Amino acid sequence: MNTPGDSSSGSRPAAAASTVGIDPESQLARIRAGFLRNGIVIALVLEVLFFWSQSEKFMTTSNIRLIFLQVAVVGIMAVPTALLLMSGYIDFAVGSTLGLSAVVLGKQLEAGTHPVTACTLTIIVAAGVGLCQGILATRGRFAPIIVTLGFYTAVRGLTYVVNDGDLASGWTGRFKEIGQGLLPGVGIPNPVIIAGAVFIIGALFHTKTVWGRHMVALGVNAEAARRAGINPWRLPLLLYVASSVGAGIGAIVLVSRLNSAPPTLGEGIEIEVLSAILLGGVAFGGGKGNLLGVAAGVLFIGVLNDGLLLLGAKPFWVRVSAGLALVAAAALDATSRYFERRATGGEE
Amino acid sequence: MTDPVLEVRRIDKSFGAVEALRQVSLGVHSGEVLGLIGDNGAGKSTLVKCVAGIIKPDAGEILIHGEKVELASPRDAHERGIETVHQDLALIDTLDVTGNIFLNREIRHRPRLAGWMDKRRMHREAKDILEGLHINIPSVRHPIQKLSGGQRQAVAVGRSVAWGRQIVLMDEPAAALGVEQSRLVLELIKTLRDRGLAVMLISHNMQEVLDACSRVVVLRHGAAVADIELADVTTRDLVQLITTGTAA
Repeated sequence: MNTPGDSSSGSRPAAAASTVGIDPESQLARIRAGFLRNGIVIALVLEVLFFWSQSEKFMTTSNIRLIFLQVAVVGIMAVPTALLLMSGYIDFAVGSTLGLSAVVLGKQLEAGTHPVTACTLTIIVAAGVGLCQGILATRGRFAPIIVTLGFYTAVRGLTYVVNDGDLASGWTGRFKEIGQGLLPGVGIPNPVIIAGAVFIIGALFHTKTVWGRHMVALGVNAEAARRAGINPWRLPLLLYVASSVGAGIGAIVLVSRLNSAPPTLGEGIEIEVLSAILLGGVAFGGGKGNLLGVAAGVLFIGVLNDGLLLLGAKPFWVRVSAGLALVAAAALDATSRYFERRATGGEE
Repeated sequence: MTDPVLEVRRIDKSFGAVEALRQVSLGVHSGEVLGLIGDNGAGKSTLVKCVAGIIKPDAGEILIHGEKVELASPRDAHERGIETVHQDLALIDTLDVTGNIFLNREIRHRPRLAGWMDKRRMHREAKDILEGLHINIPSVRHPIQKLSGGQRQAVAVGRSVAWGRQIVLMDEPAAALGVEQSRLVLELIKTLRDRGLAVMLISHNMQEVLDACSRVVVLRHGAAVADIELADVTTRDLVQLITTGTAA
């Protein structure tokens, strides 16, 4: 391990036998760097303080529970989609995939299929959408943004086709527990528990596993990763499937919570998902970012929507603010790159 | 003389109408540093990429220890013990030094299928690898983008030295390096040679070539025009070969 002497020597070569250190950065420096990379965490804190000071209803148990419940589905979808972005690809069709999955699920439930079977089928349909997109964007070498915009439209259209003018709703049984139930004893809504689990699994995948590392390598420098022998298609393809499966899980939670499956479900949610991801510090084109930032991004949007409504803003303003949040993400990204340039001595 | 470790036989490679390599043949023996020289666009890097499994030659054969091999991907090349230092380094900027040295060779906890990385062990081994090569890096946890150009190059070269088992290909490993660092790279090349590896070195620096190599192959317009031992050869002779294709 390190000798005490060389732990803070910076770029100056150590004098004695040891020429290479392992960890000269103190824990504090790493936390500080983490915050710098996650400007969104600071923004979230300021936002919470602002709404807290403006409305008495903001910092109440029921309102906080509501915020978390409202963002749970966005959170579930944001995790795999963020990982996909880190690998250098994009899925803009998650909202449409959610819609299609929801309608398929609704039809099955209405036909009296057992909920477990219905949910399994829903996930398979969602995975299928991801597989098609993924194959075209990776192996097919089609431009990912064009493929995904095509799927955004086509899959939503397909949703209406499958739905066929019907509105599936009002089923009974334990299925609604998924979206409406609370974890016994703790009082946390099930969707929030699911979102939390998805975040933890995603973060472990990203930071602890070989595949998380290869995913980042592909996003930062695909050619270098390829020369290191990393398969350039396999992981992004898998992440396309994961991104769509995330939308499928989102559909199950949302249909269960709303007790109906309208074909409009999930329209516009892709903007919220992408805003949260970009606010969280994940860059378009891959490589950068972490899921702690994405979680903060998700909450930032949730708190914004909730706070504005509490203050009595008209719902249209919520939409304006959602769009502005996306622009703010770009500003945050520019700021962090500025600090990065300063930290690395102006190279770029 | 024994059989060459690496042999390239009549390799052709065209990019559209451009014939990058024409019937190039050469061999590198164990414990030998072969210089590969030629003007810009002579086909040196293309040849290296063929042997590294990055591009596929149109025709010709690559043999390792006399056995014909298919190098369809960089992975195939790695499995045959071939390592490459690329001109543009091929490092991942945001990963730390350890991450780059162990890229796609990560040490995993058991069960291996879980893909769980043993980061502590990788940091320790990366430190040992670099120290063993007298490479100076402040910390193996530094992201590559925080290192100087020379340090990056040292990491790239160190990686190939650490993993190369049979053949190491170096495409301008000392380009853009200071005097001190260039010397370090030359030392590393000699370390490889003394370990009995076959090294192929591309360089524009004739002094470096004379210093490190025992033999050179000269490429000109995609063809190998000379293959000579380097005893009693001067820098002038080499430049003459590169520019005209014939010895003085």
